Amino acid sequence: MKNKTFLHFELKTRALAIGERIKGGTFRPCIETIPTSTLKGSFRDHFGLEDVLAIGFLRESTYQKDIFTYAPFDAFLGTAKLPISLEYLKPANGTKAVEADIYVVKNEAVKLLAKDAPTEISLGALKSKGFGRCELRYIGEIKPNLKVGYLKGRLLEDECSAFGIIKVIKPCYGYLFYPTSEVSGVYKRALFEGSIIEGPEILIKGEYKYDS
Amino acid sequence: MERAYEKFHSLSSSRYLKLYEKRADLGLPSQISPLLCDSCQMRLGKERIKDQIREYLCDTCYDIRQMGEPAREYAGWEEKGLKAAWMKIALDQEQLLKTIYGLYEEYVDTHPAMQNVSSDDKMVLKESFRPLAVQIDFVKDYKLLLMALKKNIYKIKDDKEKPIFTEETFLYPIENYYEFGIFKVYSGKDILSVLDLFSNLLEEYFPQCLEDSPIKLSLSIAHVKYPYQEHWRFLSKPENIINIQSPRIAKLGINVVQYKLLREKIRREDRKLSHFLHRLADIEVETKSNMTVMLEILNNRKKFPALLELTQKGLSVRQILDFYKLTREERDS
Repeated sequence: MKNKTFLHFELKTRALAIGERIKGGTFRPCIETIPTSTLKGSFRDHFGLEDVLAIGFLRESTYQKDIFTYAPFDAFLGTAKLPISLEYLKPANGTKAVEADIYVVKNEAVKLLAKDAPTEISLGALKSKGFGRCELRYIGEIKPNLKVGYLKGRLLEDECSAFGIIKVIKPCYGYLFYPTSEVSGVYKRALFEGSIIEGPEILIKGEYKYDS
Repeated sequence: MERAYEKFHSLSSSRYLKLYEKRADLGLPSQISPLLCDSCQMRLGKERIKDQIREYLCDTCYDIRQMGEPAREYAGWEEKGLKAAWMKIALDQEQLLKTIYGLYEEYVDTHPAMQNVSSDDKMVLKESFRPLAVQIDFVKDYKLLLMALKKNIYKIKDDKEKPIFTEETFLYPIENYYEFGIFKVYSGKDILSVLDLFSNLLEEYFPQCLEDSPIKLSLSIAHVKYPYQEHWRFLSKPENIINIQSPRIAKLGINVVQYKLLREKIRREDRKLSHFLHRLADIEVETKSNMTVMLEILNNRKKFPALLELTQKGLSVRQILDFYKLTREERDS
């Protein structure tokens, strides 16, 4: 199989909350990777591009977790709901921004993204509170080599071949939301961090040391 | 996740065994219609309402939720101003593998029994090493260490020969699970007692793991009402062998050798040293500079040679101060 080509972007933000589901009605943890589903929605909203295949990985040591507490408003009843503590990512001490690498699978539709000037996009939750405003800067085109190792992000199982994954050796499953219309969607089975795959080295954290 | 040897029956005939990772097949469906379980996020969630809180949990997660509240006794700790330490001991499997490989390579390279082995054969030995059996033995010894800690924690006595901890003041909230405990902290001595016991047991059970160990102890000390998520966040990411935090006061990560050194040199009862360390802490707060603190230590090197010695052995001023802050509290009840 021919190695896939990706467009490499750098993403910078002051606060990012890509949330898990709320636990116990009061606590919402956040994840430390940027799944394909989150980027797909963002690229559709900002660039009007459908079916963009992109995945993101936060740069270690550029971020730390913190808690933001707020009482959501029930517009129907006109009352405040129970306060929720939300985890979010903020720049680590000594750094100015949370940084991430975004890789977009190259095709005709996404070529227009490859421009030098940085663009602003929004990602994740709490956008109305100012979270998730990100600066996206194009770095260049890459054609990574194949490698066997542990997946470091989250992507739908259906998207594996499009990302150039040639073999899923041991899956580590979870579910990602997949919209089917403006107001509805389903949860599709996805490969999560720790899955053992053979694919582009940009998707891999740590080589698989065992026999495949 | 399970690791297993393929063709286990061939163990005696070949040392070139194959090792692979095996994972349980949970038979997860390719898609789930909303709502997804809030907890495991892997099954269909059903609506559950308790105390006006609406949640969507699958049957499995709900059954776990119904198993009881393991922290019932802890919830009853209501003494005014009481502090509690949350203790978590963890075995980092990834680091364990690296440690085992490292120790095995050292054994092959330096052990007298390997003197007559050629370098080619040494290379073959290293490449064909499969750590599973050693890993299993290590985990067995780790469990023994946890048991020993549990057994001995109630035997620690204070100056009046009275036990420092009882089953009411040192809780293991989850039955038969000894990696996690919570204890009342009345003074720095309580913390030091736990750390002393842990470091002595680590030395006894894993003498090769005092500077770089896959076994890590974390203590998070705060008032009993402090949010558990905050404790858990610290406990779930141990960076060194001994990790202690008291939120907004100090945070420390050291290995066992450094701990023993600090324990030996920093005497809490030494009033002059205590005053000097307090002064250093104040200087540090006011100037926000390690350099100023370091200069002060150098100026007072004759009075307090221990501090200079500690810095010369690789401990930072920050670590010394944090150690002092975390263990200086006096018994007040």
